[in-house]
Amino acid sequence: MGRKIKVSFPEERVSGLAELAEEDAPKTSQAIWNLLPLKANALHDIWSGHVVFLFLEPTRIIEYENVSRILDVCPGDLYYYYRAPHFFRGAPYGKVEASEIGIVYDRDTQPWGPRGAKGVNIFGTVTENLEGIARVCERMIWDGAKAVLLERT
Amino acid sequence: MSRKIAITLGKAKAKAELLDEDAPKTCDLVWNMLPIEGKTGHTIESGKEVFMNLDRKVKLVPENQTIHEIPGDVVIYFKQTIPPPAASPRPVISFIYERDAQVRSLHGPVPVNLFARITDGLKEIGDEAVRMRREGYQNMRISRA
Amino acid sequence: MRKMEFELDGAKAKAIMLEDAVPKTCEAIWNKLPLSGMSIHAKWAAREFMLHLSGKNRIILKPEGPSAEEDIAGTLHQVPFGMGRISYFFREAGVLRGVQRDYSPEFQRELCEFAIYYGHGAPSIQDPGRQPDPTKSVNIWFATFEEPIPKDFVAKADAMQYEGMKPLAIRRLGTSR
Repeated sequence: MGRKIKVSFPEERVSGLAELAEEDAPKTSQAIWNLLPLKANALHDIWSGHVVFLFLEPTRIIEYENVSRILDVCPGDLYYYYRAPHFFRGAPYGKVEASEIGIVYDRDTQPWGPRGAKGVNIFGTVTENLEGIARVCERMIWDGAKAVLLERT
Repeated sequence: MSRKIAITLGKAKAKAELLDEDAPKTCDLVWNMLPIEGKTGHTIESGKEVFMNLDRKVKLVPENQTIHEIPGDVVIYFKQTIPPPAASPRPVISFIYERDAQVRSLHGPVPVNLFARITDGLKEIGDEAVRMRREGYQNMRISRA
Repeated sequence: MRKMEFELDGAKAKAIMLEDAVPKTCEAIWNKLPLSGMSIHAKWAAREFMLHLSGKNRIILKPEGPSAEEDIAGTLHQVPFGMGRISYFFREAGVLRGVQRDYSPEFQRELCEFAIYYGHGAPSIQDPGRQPDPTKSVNIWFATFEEPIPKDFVAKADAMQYEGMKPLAIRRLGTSR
């Protein structure tokens, strides 16, 4: 049983719990744990389906770990992704290096970007109140960015 | 109340609930052909999927389609053999038993009709799929529950 | 040019080692032959089956030949595996997601195998922008089947989809110019 983290949208007063995948992704789990508490604005992804993501500022590089063979994710997955500067076209995302955490809130989702599929480290799963989190994430399609808080429990 | 089907693979049994609201035509199509039983194989291109061929006369229309399957999905679709033989794709029925599965052909993902979700026995039927990968496959039977 | 013979449940096929491209890999593998074990069919790559290199068959090789980035850099994101390729794969535990419960306990997370592509492959989705450390994920194409691959060999491999694992033996077949 992995350590748990709390995933909250403070302004929405919605939160859930996620379990770190410590057996499958020990390095990523520890690296993320070390960053907590973490508060950032999350955006709804525009390429991948049912995902909201937040940038890690400053960028953190975590090694490739626990990546799906078919670059797929499931509802509730928490993932980490790093891209080098100029890997894909475009501004603002393409020009700078970036690292991000994604929250997958529903099915029919595959992490994607302008250059194609993304190989993400899957480091946790939302185990409590994914439904509440999903309702907030859906609203972000219309409402825009919302603050998200990740904390140790 | 949704209709239910029973899936038997080897010694394992599972139950699935039909997605009558999301895929009414496909659910009726499957319901009306039950019970069915046939030779089962493990996919060689789609990951954690076990499938059974259906009669070529089965008429399938796109409904409630996805290319992102998750564990517990029960689907029906046209499967093209790799490499494409002279024959046209044939309809198959299959279930996804673990993560990292995507129904694919030589050309990439294949949209499937998602018509049911396994509600009981997914672990058991998945364990049987794992065992059969090594030892060989037996028939699968799908019936009204 | 060194040749190998693959015998899958009684059906045979020949392969040529790519000694010019990956000489160290070919030498290491040649020195290990003959080897044998139970092979299992692929789940994602279509017409591929694998021999897991366990016990005395285990070989740990360093990267040699084109890198993963070079192999997939020019592609969109889907890479069909080459028909007739025989590759060595090593992958440290944890690089890829999940436990492969259909493999023996030794290989449910770590991988050390020969990947034998006997026909058309399904496209493998890749992210060229982010790849594992090359020392943790080694992929060396070291031999190619002589074509045409005998039909009975292909049939035996195809049959594993329904019949489960089959015995595989790989042996030296000598050297030819």
